[in-house]
Amino acid sequence: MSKDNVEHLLEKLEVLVSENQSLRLENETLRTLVEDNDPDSSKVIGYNNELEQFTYVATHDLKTPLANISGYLDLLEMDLEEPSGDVKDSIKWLKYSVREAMNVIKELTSALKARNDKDDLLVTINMDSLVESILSGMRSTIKKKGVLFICDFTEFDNFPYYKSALRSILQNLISNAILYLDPEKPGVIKVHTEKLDEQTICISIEDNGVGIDLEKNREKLLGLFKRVTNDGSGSGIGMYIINKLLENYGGTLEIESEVGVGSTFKIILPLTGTNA
Amino acid sequence: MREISKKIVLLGNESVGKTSLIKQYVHSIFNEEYLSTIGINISKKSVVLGDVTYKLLIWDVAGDLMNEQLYDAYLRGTHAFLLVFDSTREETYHAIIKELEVLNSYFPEVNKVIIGNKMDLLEGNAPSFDADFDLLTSAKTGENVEDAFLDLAKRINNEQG
Repeated sequence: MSKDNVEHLLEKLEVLVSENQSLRLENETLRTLVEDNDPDSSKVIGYNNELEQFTYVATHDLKTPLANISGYLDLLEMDLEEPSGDVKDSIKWLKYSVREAMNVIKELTSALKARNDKDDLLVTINMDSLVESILSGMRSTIKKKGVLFICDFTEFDNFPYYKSALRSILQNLISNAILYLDPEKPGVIKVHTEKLDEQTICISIEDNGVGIDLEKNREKLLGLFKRVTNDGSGSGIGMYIINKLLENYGGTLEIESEVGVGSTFKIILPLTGTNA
Repeated sequence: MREISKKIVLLGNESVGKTSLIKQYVHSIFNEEYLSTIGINISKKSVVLGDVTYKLLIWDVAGDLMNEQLYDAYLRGTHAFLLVFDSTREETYHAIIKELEVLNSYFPEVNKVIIGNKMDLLEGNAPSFDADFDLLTSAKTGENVEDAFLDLAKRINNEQG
């Protein structure tokens, strides 16, 4: 593995950590400004823009060294003829860590995109094909976990909305449903639609997973980097993305859950499909 | 006019064309690209027979899901089974015959129709192996697809009296 690459990555991480601290301070200032209803809102906008710029640069600059490390790890693995168990383990965990770091970067980029995403086109959504294509992308995970998906769009299949946004929302909710299934019982996830009234439809994602204690975690659920479990699963970005996209494109999210029984996430969408 | 909902379940091995049959019947479309079904997909189509509108809720069950746990949990309340085999692949016929035996023990009273799909790929007008079936269909050309579902609806209707 290239020493330069590791050093470069460590430097970047150091910058990231220190910038993160200043970000937090700026965030605090921001919050105070908003709370005090400061008329100088351009300051708030400026801080916000800076924050975004910084995150873009940080995520972009970290990608290359991580990709290099990953490549060198592959080479190292191929070159080592008979590595000891410890070396094998170390390589495995290094690869895992690199993959995790890359996932964080990917999700951070998606979260940023979701914040500003307002340019999706209003099209006719066909739930059947949209969900089919989402599930196809998750085929290996679904098989590995032995999840039974039941999709019922007989009540409502076609409606106008923003396809990329809805894909991202559904993808995140379905991934979460799979992630938080109860390993002790066969996982079942139902995705279905219903028309609530002339102006509103509801898409439900219902699982029989571990469930969430909503009294304790309702606030945490939609925040950035907030997790409702401490087991290290999930990045804490998905729900933030969903919330932002629904804010941008119109719609709300309702959550029903019971620990040990499962959760139902209901996406309530306006049938007009107009931006919020 | 009365409206009655009926649950129809399609079973059969992977890639015999269950999803294609449903897509052809419900949406009049056929896609050459094969994507194996994940889980269970439910579609609907209405059929009018006499003074009754039958709302057929058509369950497309992934070929790799056929097992007895599934029968117990999800297939209760089925009004008719459409057992599909690929008329060019003998093993898929034997698979549904085996399935039929299990189904008969679980759901002895429920209608079952056996169809051989992909008839457009047959060289003659019958499969090259011995098979006892109700109808040959082609999800690709649409031949006999409507008839297969209509046949089921009629059987259900006759039972209704």
